[in-house]
Formats: sequence, structure tokens, C-alpha cells
Amino acid sequence: MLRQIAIVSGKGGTGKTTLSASFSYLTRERVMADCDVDAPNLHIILKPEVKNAHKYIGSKKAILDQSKCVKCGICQQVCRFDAISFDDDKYFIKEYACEGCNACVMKCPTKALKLIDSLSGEYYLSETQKGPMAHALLQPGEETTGGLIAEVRKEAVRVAREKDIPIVVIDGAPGIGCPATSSVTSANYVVIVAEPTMSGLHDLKRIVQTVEHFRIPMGIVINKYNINEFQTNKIEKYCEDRSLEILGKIPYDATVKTATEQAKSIMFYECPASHEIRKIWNKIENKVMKR
Amino acid sequence: MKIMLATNEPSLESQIADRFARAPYFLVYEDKSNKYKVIENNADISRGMGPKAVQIAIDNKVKVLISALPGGNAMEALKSSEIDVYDGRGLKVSEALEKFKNGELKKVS
Repeated sequence: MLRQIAIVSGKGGTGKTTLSASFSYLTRERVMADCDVDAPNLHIILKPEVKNAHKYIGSKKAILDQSKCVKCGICQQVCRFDAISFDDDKYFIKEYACEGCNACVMKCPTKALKLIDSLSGEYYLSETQKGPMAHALLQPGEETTGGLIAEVRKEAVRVAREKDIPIVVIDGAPGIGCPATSSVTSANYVVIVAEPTMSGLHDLKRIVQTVEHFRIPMGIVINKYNINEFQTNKIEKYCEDRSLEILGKIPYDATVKTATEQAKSIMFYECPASHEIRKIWNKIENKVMKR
Repeated sequence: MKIMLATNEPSLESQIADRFARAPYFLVYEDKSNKYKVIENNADISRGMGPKAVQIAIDNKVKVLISALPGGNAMEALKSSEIDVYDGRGLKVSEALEKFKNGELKKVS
């Protein structure tokens, strides 16, 4: 049976992608799904070769037909997003400000405005050394989108079923909103990466709530736990109070920086961090694959 | 009573879909007549699908939803619309309906 494991964190920059790439290295065969479509970077380590690219239409934008425009200015008045400007004796639409709400189209007396599909991004199915990878790229200025992430996950599951690969590893989107939700929904297990800082604990609590909402089993990884043992203790206390399992504590390790500079997975190096990550993965595999 | 199921295929033999609001199909099943209607779910917006899907349920006078667990926004809309949600993860539509009738399905809210 296919298992989907999502790696998330309420806060960005905690080490999701480092951990995801490590898990990729530690599996025999897997499908990767990079769901951080705003600013993906898993590809830097896994170096995928794109096999299929698809366009993603996720929103609409207004366009103005100048030949029909009578310059009444109603569209500018009704636009709540300040997306219509008047310049050089004509109205025009600021495409990065337009939300596609349709108000101007409804109010235009001469039907000079209409909504058109807008390209929000692209998603890809690629091949890496350890198996297929689904990933995407959001267009600059586009809103965060659970929809594009849904496409990435659909693609990953499809190829996993087709090739009989038992595991999909999801590098999740940061935060707790629509993209993070779309990264974890219907996963079989969620790994939350926390860092021992003030905002780290705060954001951990928020993502725990999000995952609890979906009733998915989860485990916590504290990354760089020894840079602030005081905060690490607080995280441990919080986890204990809520009966959340701590899967492991990764020490600060300068080798991670070296590996990242070389665009390589930390698992290519023998070091305290890679040693701990290996232990963490064994725990996850025991939990998820043998259930 | 009308029961909505979020599914992968437009039939009673389908699996319940992995996701609620972005499920490919909604089946609106009427338990008295044992008949159902298929709604193709056009998940054409990049965000805010949850409330849109709940609107479909409201428009169809649905009282019960059986699906994967809905997200936060959808859940709020379902609660205030007094639509009961049951966990249908991993089940076939026919199994889910059977379990629901026997009171064996877990209520989410």
C-alpha cells in the first residue's frame, strides 16, 4: 500500500528540505514531491531531469479592450484592489494587482472588460537518480496556491501507483495556511521540523494544530537542538505535555553547510547530523511502512 | 435525507477521494430512494476551494458529508451550515454508506 510522508514546519528555514533530501537518499525507491512551490529548492540537491511539464491555470485576470472603453472610470471606483490606473489619457490594468474578482467586468457599461485565464505556474514530472520527482514553480506575483500543490501531489501519487513505488516523500510548504494544508492533507504520516528559537516553538504549536485537525499521526524533529538548549527544553516540555513523539534531535553540524555549498545531500557525509538523521528515518520507516 | 460523498469516480464502486474540496466528483445520495446524482467538481480555483465545495453541498440540500477530512475553512462553513461530517478515509462509497447506515462511521463534527 502506498504511504505518503510529509515533512513540514510552521516556520520556514528549519531544515525541511535538508531532511527531505536525506530521506530521499535513505529510501531504496521513492517518489519525491516538492510542495514548496513558492520557492522550491529541493531540485538543487536532487537535480531532476524534467520529463513532462504542464501549465497550471489557477486564477483569472481582467483585460481591458481600449477600443470599447469610454473612460467613465467606474471600473477604477469599484476595484477593491487598486488594480486599475489612469495614465496617458487611458485606463489600464495592473496585472500583478488584479485579483480576478470580476467587479469591474460586472459594472462596465460598455462591456470593455473581461476575465481571462491567467497562467499561475507550471508543474513537472521529472526523473532523479533515486526515482521520480514531482515539482512546480509558481509565477512571480501569483498568490499562494493549494491548487498547484494538489497537482504536484496528484502527479506524485499517479507515478508511484504506475511504477509500484511504495512511498511518496513530500517536502512540504512552510507556514500553516493553504499551501501547508494542501501539503499534509491525506498524508499517512507527518514529520514536523522544529528549531529551538522563540518563533520556532510558537510556529511549532501552530503547525501541530493544523496536523491535528486532519488527524494524521505525527512526530517532531528538533533541528540544531544544541544552539539553544533552553528553547530545546521548552519544545521537549511542550511535546511531553501533548504526548507528541520526538523522533530525534539533530545537532548543529558545520558539515551540513559544507554539503549545502556542494549541493549534495548531508547523507554523503559521515557526521553527527547524518548519523542522527539515519536514526530518525529508521524510526519513521518502522512506524509507517510496517503498519 | 441527502448524503454527499467526495469520490474519485462517478459511481458507488468508487473510492472516497483523498481530499474533500478537490475531489474529482461529488455524489449526492438520497437514502430513501437509493438514488444518487453525480456532480463533476470543477476545482478551477487555486485557493478557497473548501468554501466553494461546501456551497455545492448547501445548494443540494445535503445534511451529511462523507469524505476525507475537510480543511479548516471548509470545516467552519460545514459547521455553520449544520452539515454533519463523517470520516470516509480509505473506504469505498458502497462500504461507507453501509457503515453510515449501521452507525459505524466516525463522526468528525
